[in-house]
Amino acid sequence: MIEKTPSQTERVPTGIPGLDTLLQGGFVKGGVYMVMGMPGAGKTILANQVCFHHVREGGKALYVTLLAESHTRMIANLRSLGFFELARIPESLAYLSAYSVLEEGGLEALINLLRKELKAHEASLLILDGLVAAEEIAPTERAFKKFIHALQAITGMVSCTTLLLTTGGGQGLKAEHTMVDGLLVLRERTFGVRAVRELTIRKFRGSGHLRGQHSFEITDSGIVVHPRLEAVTGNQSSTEMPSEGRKTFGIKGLDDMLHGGVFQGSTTMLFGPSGSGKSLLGLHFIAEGARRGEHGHYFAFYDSPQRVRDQSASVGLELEPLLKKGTLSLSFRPPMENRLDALGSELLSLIREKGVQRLFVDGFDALSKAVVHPPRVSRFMAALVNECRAAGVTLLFTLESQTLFGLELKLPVRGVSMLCENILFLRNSEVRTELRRFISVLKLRTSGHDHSLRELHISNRGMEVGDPVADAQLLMSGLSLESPLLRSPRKRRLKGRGR
Amino acid sequence: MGPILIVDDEFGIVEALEGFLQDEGYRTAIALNGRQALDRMSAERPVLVFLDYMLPVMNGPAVLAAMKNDANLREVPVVLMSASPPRLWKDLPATEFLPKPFGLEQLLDLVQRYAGGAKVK
Repeated sequence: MIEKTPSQTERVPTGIPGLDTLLQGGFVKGGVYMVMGMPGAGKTILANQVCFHHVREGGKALYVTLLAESHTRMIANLRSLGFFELARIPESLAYLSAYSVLEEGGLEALINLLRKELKAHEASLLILDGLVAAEEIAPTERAFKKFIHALQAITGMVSCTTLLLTTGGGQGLKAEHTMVDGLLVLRERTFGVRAVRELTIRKFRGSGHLRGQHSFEITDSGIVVHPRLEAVTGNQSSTEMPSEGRKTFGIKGLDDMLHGGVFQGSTTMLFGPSGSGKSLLGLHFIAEGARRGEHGHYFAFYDSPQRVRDQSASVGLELEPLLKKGTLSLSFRPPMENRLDALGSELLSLIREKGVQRLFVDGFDALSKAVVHPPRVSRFMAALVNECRAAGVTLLFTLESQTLFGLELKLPVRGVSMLCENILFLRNSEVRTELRRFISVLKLRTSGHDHSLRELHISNRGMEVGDPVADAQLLMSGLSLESPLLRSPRKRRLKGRGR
Repeated sequence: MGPILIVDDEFGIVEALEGFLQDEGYRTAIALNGRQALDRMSAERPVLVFLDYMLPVMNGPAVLAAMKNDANLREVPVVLMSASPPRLWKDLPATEFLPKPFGLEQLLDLVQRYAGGAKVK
């Protein structure tokens, strides 16, 4: 008996960042896949990027176009993209126009041409660009189905993975969609003034895949797909790393309030208005870890690395030695047109590949602005929290309150506070004629903690937390009432504090 | 010299095999069911038959049995093709068994082995 080939599970990786994650390794070898999308959706770039990756891996690719456009024009447009390598053409990657063959001989002539060229080029990857032209020339729908069927049989026999690129000719389900092994849909949508590219895998026979919409972008290097963070982590992060104990801030008063720090792998929200000290507190936390040899990362949306360095240095928090040592790293993504899942990919990489142990995401509202489907924010955050827990990464993030002063205080995002084991509340408070900062622990799950309010001091010696405040009222509303504390001189209040 | 007969109810497979074999210089004939296959064979004795197991009207094993009872066809080599488990068909009196899906190399090896001299160009 002749051995069965090819193996049904053998994969052809696309080499497109993120897409192989969605496909769980790539296309199934010998399969026929349809890539649908309107003009400008990115089909041609996707197909060419797959081709160049395939030939770099030792395969051979044949790109056949049924469109009237010349290859020269297409290749000229591809030259600027990072994956393009002229030296691969034509030995490993051949371009062929079948436009006139189709026009003159119809589908029968086209199938004969494809069979002969696949064999002649020993192609292991075929791209058929402009399938809609074949559909238009087919005398009946049945004739077109027979063409697809014959193509499947031929490519299957030569173990050639095939991508059929088409505009789809409409939104409805068509016969050929049911025949192919997989269906990828590319589209661009606008949300307000923002345009977002999305990729959906509608069908993928013989393998699991990540369902739903995933964003992608066309960069100078080619297409980059950003799988939805909650889809990726939902599949993989099922176990939780046992906690190795408390993680300190290196601020004695605060570590006392927390009975020794927050637990490893936990998530802490630093909640408070602008200027209350959230960012500096988070920086203290990762710097403290970095001094102990734990890799800390500051993921900033509003402050550039230079600004962070300068600001930290001005309050006595020297980051430079830690940055040089490599135990501390910074990244900066200004909140312009960020895509949530692109940020998610970066965060995932920090956790999974770069071995970050303390992660500080400064600006939850920037994450919220990066989302085009608002209900996703809390799901995204849940995925990030779960991923951190699974990897034993201690996560801190800041959430800015919408009001600076007042009795009413609302969390600006629903469904996030319950994800956090710990919530630290920071507030500026008006005390007579000056504004002062206070901190309290709203929540520290699975541990007791100090319920008192304490004053937070920021000076050129760094951040310090004072003794518990006694007898003050409404301090955390930002509008304090008279109390013995407030009448006492500042010097006395600071006496005996942490350091 | 007779043709290579391809018997399969899947049009795509028939067309692919026919195309590849013709490209290699072989003469081919096709049939889409078992009854049609026997009719083709009685009209012209093939040099080799690629026979699918599951066929409408008359299935592959029935075609094989009919060939074994026909003195003119008894010695014609038959490659039985099937996607079903080999235990169902490995004891049948075929010359070779070819599990589906199969590759072009396997196809051409078998053709070379059993009908290598039948090339017309």
